[in-house]
Amino acid sequence: MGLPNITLISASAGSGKTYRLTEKLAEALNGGLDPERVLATTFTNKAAAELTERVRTSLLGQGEWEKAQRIFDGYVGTVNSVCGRLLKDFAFEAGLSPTLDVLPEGEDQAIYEKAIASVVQKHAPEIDPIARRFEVDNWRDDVKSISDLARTNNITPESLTESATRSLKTFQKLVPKAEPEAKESQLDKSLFEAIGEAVIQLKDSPDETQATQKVSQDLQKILRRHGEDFRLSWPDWVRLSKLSPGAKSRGIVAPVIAVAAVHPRHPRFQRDIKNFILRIFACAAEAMQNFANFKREHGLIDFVDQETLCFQLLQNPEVRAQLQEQVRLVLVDEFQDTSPVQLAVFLQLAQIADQAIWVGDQKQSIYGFRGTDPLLMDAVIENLIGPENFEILTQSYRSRPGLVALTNALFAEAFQSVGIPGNRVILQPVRKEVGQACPLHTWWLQAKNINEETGALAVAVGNMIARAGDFQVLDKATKQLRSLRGGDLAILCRTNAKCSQVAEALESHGVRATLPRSGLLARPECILALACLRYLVDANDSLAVAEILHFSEDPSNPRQWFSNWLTQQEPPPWKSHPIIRNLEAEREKLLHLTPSEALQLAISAGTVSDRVVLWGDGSPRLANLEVLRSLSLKYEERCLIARSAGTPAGLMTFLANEVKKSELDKQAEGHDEHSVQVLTYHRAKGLEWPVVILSDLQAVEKDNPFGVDVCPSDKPFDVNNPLSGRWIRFWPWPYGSQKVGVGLDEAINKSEERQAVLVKDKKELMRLLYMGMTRARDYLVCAAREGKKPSTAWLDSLKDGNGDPIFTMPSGTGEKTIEIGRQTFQFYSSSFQPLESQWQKEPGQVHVSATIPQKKPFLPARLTASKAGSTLFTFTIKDSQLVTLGPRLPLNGRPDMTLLGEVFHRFLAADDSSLSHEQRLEMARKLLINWGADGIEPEALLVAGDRLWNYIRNNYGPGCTCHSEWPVHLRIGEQKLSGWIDLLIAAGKGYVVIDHKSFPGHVDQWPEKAKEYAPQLLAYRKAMEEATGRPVIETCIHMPILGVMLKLDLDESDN
Amino acid sequence: MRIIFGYELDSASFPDALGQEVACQGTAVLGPHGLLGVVETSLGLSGVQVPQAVRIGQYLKRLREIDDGRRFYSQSLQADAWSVAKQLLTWRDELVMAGWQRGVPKGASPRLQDMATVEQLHHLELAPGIGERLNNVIGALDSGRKLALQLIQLVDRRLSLPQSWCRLLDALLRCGVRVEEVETTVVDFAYQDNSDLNLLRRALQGEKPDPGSIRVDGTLAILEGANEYEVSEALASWLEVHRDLSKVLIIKGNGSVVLNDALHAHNLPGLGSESRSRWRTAMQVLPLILSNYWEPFDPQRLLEILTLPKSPIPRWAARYFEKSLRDHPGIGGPKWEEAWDSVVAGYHAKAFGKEGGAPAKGSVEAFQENLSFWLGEKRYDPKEGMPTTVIRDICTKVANWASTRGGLENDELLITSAALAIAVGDSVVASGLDKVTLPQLNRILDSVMGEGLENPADFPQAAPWSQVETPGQLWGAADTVIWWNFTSSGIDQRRIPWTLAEREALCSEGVNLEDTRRARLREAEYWRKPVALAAKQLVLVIPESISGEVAVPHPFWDEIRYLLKLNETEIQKLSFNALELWKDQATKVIDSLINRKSIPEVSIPVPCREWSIPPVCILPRERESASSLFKIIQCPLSWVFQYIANLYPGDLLALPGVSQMLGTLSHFIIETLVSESSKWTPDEAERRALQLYDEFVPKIAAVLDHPGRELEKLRYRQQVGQAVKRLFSLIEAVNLQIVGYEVKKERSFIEGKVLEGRIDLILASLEGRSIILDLKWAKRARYKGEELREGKALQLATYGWLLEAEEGRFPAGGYYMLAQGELLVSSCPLFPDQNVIQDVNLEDVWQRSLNAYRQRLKQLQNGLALAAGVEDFAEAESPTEKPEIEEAEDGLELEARCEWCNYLNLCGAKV
Ligand code: SF4
Repeated sequence: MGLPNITLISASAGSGKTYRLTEKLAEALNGGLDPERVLATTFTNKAAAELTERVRTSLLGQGEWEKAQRIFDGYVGTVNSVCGRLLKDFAFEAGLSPTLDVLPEGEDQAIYEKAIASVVQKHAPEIDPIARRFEVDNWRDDVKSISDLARTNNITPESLTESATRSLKTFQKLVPKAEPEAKESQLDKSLFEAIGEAVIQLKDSPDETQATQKVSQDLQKILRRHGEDFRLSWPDWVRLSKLSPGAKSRGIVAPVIAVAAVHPRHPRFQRDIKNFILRIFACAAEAMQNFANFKREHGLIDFVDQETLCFQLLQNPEVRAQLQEQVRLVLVDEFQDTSPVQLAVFLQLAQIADQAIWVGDQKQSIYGFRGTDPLLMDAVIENLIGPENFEILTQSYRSRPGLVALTNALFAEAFQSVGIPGNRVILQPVRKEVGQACPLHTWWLQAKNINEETGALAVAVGNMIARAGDFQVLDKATKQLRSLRGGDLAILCRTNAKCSQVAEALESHGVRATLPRSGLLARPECILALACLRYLVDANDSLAVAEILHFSEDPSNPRQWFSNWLTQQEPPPWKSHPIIRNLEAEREKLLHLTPSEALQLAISAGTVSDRVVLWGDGSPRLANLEVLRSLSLKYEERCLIARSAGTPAGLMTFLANEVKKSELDKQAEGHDEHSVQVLTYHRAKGLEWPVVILSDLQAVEKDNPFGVDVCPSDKPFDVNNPLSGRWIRFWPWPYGSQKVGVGLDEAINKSEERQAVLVKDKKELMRLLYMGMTRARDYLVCAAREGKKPSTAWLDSLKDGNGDPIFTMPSGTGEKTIEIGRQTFQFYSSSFQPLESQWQKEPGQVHVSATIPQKKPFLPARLTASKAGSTLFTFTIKDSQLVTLGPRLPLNGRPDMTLLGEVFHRFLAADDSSLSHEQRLEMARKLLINWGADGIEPEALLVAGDRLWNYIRNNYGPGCTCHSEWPVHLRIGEQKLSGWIDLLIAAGKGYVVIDHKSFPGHVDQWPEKAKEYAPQLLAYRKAMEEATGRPVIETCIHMPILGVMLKLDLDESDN
Repeated sequence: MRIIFGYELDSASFPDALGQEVACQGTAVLGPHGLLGVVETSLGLSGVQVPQAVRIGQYLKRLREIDDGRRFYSQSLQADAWSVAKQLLTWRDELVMAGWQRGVPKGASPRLQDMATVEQLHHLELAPGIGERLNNVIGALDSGRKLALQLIQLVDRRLSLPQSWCRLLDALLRCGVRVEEVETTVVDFAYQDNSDLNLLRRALQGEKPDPGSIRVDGTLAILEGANEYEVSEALASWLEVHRDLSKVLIIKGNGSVVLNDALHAHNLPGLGSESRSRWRTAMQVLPLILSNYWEPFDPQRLLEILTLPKSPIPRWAARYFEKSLRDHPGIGGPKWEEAWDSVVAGYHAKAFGKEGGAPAKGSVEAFQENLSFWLGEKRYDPKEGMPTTVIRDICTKVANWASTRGGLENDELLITSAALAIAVGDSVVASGLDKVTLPQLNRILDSVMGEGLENPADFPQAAPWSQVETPGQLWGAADTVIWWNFTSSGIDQRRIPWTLAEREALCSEGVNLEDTRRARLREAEYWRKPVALAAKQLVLVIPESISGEVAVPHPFWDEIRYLLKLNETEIQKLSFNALELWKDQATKVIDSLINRKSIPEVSIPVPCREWSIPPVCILPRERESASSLFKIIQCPLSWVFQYIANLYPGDLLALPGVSQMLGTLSHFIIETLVSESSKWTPDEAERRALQLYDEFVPKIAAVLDHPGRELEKLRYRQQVGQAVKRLFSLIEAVNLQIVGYEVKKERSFIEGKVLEGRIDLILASLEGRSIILDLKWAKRARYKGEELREGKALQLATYGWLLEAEEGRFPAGGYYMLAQGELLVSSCPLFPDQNVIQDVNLEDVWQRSLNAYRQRLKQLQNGLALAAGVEDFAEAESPTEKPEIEEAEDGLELEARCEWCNYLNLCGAKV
């Protein structure tokens, strides 16, 4: 295979990436590329929609209306949706089921656990005792991490053995030589004895210091818990090696310490390490296999499968050939965020298509924690992309010149030191200064703890918003300057937990905040909705009733319900509460409903949406109810994936037991132009705001090489097999919560592995800071805690070629000028303190619907004539007359009369005087076969036809015309009735309406039967008369099998 | 007869045949399926339509017949036969519709050859699909049959219709039917004013308006909101005040339950919604019952069965089993047996009265048999499979139940789901297998249930307005057109599975597959219809999210924006945000003023520490127990909620957590051990305990058998074994006797009320001193240790006091922490030092508990229930009304444990 033709567009933050991508795509389409033949992957669904929209608008602009439409048939979407579609389209080539259910992210855990149950069961007896000695609570997580990483790096289960050996070998370098095996039990025994001795001595010792008391208690606990079979965990060994009683008692515990300190040389310890690493890998390999089998058996697929299977699929020559017909241009957006296996897929696709364009920015690769590997990316760029294919976007459209200059100055040098040349960093600002305030700000937050810090931050933000006029921002929509408002601000934090704290602080200062918040089910609107659902599903849930009463009570009389409850009589007064009554009345519908409909029913019967609006802040409350509803759909999806039954009761337990406190328990984000956005740096990716506030600047890099990590290959890069040689390192941490003073911590300090982790994380942090800083359009604020501890470590970590910090946050307040590189920058520095007082919200007015709902019964919009019941028309049968057309047709056996009826019906509808006898007979035969009817000879149908036609000719004269299957429609109030008249005859004086019926019963039963059919005939009659103005002179029921015609004289009586 | 025909008119149309008239005759509005049906009928070609699922089954049989492992689908067929058959049948039907005569085209690829081979298997039935029907009709028409049909009016451009349907139209034309396109742009707008809508119309026809020409006159409007709740309220409010609803047309898409509810709240009829779903509870009965026949047993599942609305298990009997599951979440354990006994006794009482007449022979047996069927008689290994006969029986029984019940209550949906249950049974039998594994059975359930059923109650309701589902169903003008849910949810990608070469080969056989382009263009034409046909006003309703998922505006919006050169400011002006409605008393929505009722915000119930209650109702209860004492001292309010108000979550939420379950299980194991012998060596005791553990996990703690739990199950097993072993060795080491297990004691304490307790273990030393042990299963031992250390071991004190009545003194007491195998005792010289936590005097603890209890009770009797976990902050109520809170002198203080409390939502405590 030849080298792929990839053009790489390096697009620094704010350099108009999407614009350029659209341009490229439009160029290609103008050059004659069929829109269906574009394959484009983006990072999110939203980005895909945006790309499509832009391309469409651009095509429309060129009058390419048709192409703008056809773009929908290309492969455009997230990597996973595109891979998923390829697998579906080529399911047969891939040997897969054409309908695979995709395991949504986050839903795979339960399935995975099910799938690997037997593997865990097999390995647990060996692994678990070691895990407990390591105080590793759930080693299944390690197994999962290994198998996940193996999958995203296309490492097969078989080749995991190699990773195991390498992990073990490298780990063993960190531990000292073991004591001889023979000493093992002696070591244990001495420790046990030393403890026993120490306990006794401590008891008698006069030393009453707290430290000694604690040591004594700890040692006692060990004796209590580890009676005869003495197997301490390794962290316990460490703890014992670090005992520190009061000075007077040191001598007593010295023997304990001495024995315990042997722990890294303990033969069992070293055996544990070895067995643990090897067995965890073995378990992971089997788990991968079982998981794959399980999914295959159950028709499931997950995101990683989509990619790995796609990678395999694209190597199939047949598929490549077909795809070459279908895909000519491959676009990859945000290439820096792709996982290794995704990258491999893109390389394949690039080879298949004529042309590939990758757009992105190495400097914004921030998903290392999800398995993105910037090193791999660098290798691709280095090996595959020549300078002629390397396009660098050099202009910044986003930020003010002052901001662009700052990032240029800070990062050109910083990135240089990690191998990214300056020309991929430096941008020229397109925007001009138009008289806005100073773009760069530093905020010093005077705080001793996190609470004060967030408090001070909230004060600072409140202050900025209060001075909105001083901060003019350029409105993106109107392109005009205007005063700042809350929605223009974004505060970036490192963790979700911090985000919540900041948001809480903001809200308690009266600043509205938007952020992904947990605790959906604890919101009052959801408590009420869920209580309604619970009571709907379970009439015995008295707690639900209490909650409904509590949350819908009259606020002027709080908790009155409870007094009533306690003094309750029979029937209890709450039984007549309108919500309870509604819910009880609706309960009987449950059997008909889906879980999500049941929830909506609970919400509407409980008038929840009306109620919660009254509490003020209606919009976020309604949004939360909407999220609750989305969880009900999620539940259904879950049941589908788990292949289990789903019921309203199941939904209720799912919400109450599984969602609560889980990942899913998230409130609606909601947003409006006045609320400040609080989010993590990671989530800020791809977004921008007029004002960006960088917080948590104290971040420092991680340096812990323990756990599971993927290591690069030591072989040269191979484009056809970009992932070969990669392996997984797993180093278990054997000391639980004991992190220092364990020997291992010192050994690791000098290791190259730690160095590698450190460097990797340092780079990642640098990129994250770059990404955060470049989100700002008009103003950038660095907010750091003022205090003794350095709180700007993150900023300080940007180093120049000499290893000196490039930037130091100016201290003090007021205007500050600082030099960065060879440039000077103006900063405005302020200092803030948290406020004491809490902000109180004033209750306002809400405006709700003035309509009082009446329980109206609504009728169906459409009716069919054949189902028109006697409720529709009231009528009397004035007269009926029976005309015999001939003898009863002979039936054989006991045929299915419904089917037979159909056949007569259809025959008479198609019977036509222009047909020959043969044709008619053939038709009758076919109809009998097609309807699977028996019991009658085909000739009988002809007889029925002849009799009917004769009758008509005789009664209505040869001049009449017959219409079979004649459509009529009639409006009745707001309802509409439609039907087909079996046979309509236009006779001289008016119309005759005939309906065929195949009732086989005796003539005596007719009057009763006729009553059933009368409304239908009446409907036909009314429709015909109303539509034509001519009378219907007769309404008849024709019974071909009995050979009779029943004329009904109907009278519609007014009711 | 005249037919108005459009590609999308099968399910709805605007106008319909009636148009503005009261009645009409001789005209039908039809889509392709309708037209085909009418022509078939008049040619005498109709027949029973075989359900698609059956055709898939038939096609699958054919595929299997010729699968030699080398077919292009062979591998996939192994992975998922049913889905393969379904997919290939669709391809095959498309080819037939396009005119394929089912032969091998010249130069056919192996794929096409494989497809053709399937067609040769005439001995295996394959019911005709729509393709064959179409071809038959065309054949008959071409053989010279006459039709009563005179005129077909097309509402779509003929050239935009799919080619297969054009073939039908051509054939009709050849038979003398007139086929003409109708002019659908009824509005002659050219001479009208420069309304925004007209501007857009002209732009669609190629004119290029200047930027900024838009006037925001309400003729083109967007109704937006954050979610369905908001936009529904706005739309319903707007419709409610609309001048003339008979001139309104709503394009409703799939409709929305939320919109229906909002319309009803404004006394307007609902639009109905696309409610086809497999999750209707009536249909879920079969999967539920079946799932209860698989291993491992899932108590939650059985609870769902027991609490089903109209459950096949009578409510009164279900209660016993629910309780049993709550106590012992498993099946077949002691509580389960008890439940059975009670139910049988209950049946006797019900059937024969209290006096106990003679039961009719066999009736009890029949009742029991029936009940045990619904409760799940035997469970099968999912991998090995369930016997086909068992599955069929289950299906039949469920179907019988559903049809009987459905028949009695005239419940259409239940009756239909009975038919589905039969179909599942039939399919299983048809598979010819002896046993069916769980995944296989699920696939069959999928194929039968997958399509789902509609809620019969969810129909469009008679309304003054008209409605259609898609813009393609629009072919006449309406004054106001509302496009509900104008978002991009419905765009799917299309692809022709055949390569260019394959298409060429097919083409040479006269098989013309429709190009995806044509479909795209047709779709785009449809999008334009609402603009062309809204005479006075077009309203686009755009929720930002639908059911919690972010929604983006419909792609046609790109076009509108482009055509009118709208900038953001103009878009904002065209849009009405539903949120505004809640902000003001009178709000102009598009063109109408909507008046709202203005009311002050109502405060959400705030956290409250001091609850006033009617004093009379708190009498001392007749009986108290150690745990109720504990509770009243911890938090009097929670005690009132639980013991006086009887507030409990329903049964479904009452399954115990793992710790509780293990507590129950290990108590049970130790109880059994003690009852079996009084002399256990530690090792023997451990061995027996492990046996009991293995035997009783499924009966008492069944969830431990669930996949994903094996590690826990293993760890707990070791823990239980260790706990038992260590307990017995401790007892042995200090030479104690077990004198009682689960000993019930009671003693009257204040005002003649009784205090009762059940003491886990009573030991006696050789000198006859008693020691009481309470066995606890807890993740951490620390909490109990502290309790002892701080003199708060109320439970031990209570038991001590109960024993004191007999022994004249308080015994020593302690906790045995099962999970840790750790003994913690109060003063007791018998045990080694490390086990004695604190030299506490239980008598003292008891005295202080009693003091605290008295104080709490008095406080309650004074009308105050204290929520101990709620922070004390000033409330709006006037302080004078507050009863005094006095602390008990020398009373026991226990911290409220709000994180475990059921009543958090009521008192508002923060955890
Ligand atoms: S949550 Fe706490 S304060 Fe509220 S009732 Fe329960 S224990 Fe009492």
